[in-house]
Amino acid sequence: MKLYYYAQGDEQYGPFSPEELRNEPIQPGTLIWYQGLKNWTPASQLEELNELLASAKTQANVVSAEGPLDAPAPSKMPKNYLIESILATIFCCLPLGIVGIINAAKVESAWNAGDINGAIHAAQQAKKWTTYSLISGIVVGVLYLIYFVVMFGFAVGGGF
Amino acid sequence: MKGFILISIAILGIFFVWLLASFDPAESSFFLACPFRSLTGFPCPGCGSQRALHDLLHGQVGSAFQHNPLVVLGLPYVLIGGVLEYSSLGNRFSAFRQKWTGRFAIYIWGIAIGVFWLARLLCSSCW
Repeated sequence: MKLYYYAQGDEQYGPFSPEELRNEPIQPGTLIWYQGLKNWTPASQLEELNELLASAKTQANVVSAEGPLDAPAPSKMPKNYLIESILATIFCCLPLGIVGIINAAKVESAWNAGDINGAIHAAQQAKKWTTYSLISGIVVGVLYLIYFVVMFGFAVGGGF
Repeated sequence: MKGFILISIAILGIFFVWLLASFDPAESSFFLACPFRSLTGFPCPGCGSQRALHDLLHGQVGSAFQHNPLVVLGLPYVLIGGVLEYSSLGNRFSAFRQKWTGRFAIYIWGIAIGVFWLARLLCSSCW
């Protein structure tokens, strides 16, 4: 199977199978290379990519509202939610907080290894567990408050 | 919606701090006991944090330290980190902010929580 590489800026991406290449931000001017091809070649000059370019164009029209297809990769490490996870560990929900701290470490190590997608994924996980901690903290707090008010009511009302 | 949630959390937080300042968790029943301890009978690294915060709010650092040293030592870190994460200062000192919650900090916290917990489990009368 033909495996494609493409270049954007100074970075080289790949290998991609033809199917995977469809999900990449290939534009007519994007430089493409695969084994057997002499030089990096603009996508528009490779006949087999005509169809892909045409479909990419229609896709670009659809998603253009969300931003350009060739948006640069984030240059800042995603938020790792360490502070929130520590707070969750100590003040709320020990297990959830610990999962958060582990994910904070994952954000960090993936980012340092150059795995931007991995870092973003771990950051989403960290955010998810922080949200769960927050929700369970508030739910328990409110339930406790209700319990307390009810007990107080019983006590004032003469006690059962 | 996001603003509403943040404001609600802020109000709950202020209410909680007011409760902590007004009543001593060691003597009053206003406060929720640690669910982990209630369920398992073992202390968790956060046990004593409410009593510690109460003491801190009254300026009694030594007594707070006896209830939960992790909270006393970690509070300045968390406060500075919170400001960096949620104010515009974090953008201005973005490199510092990244370091503050960086790899080194994560390992220190992981080890500190683990060691403190282990110590508590092994010697329940110590802390």
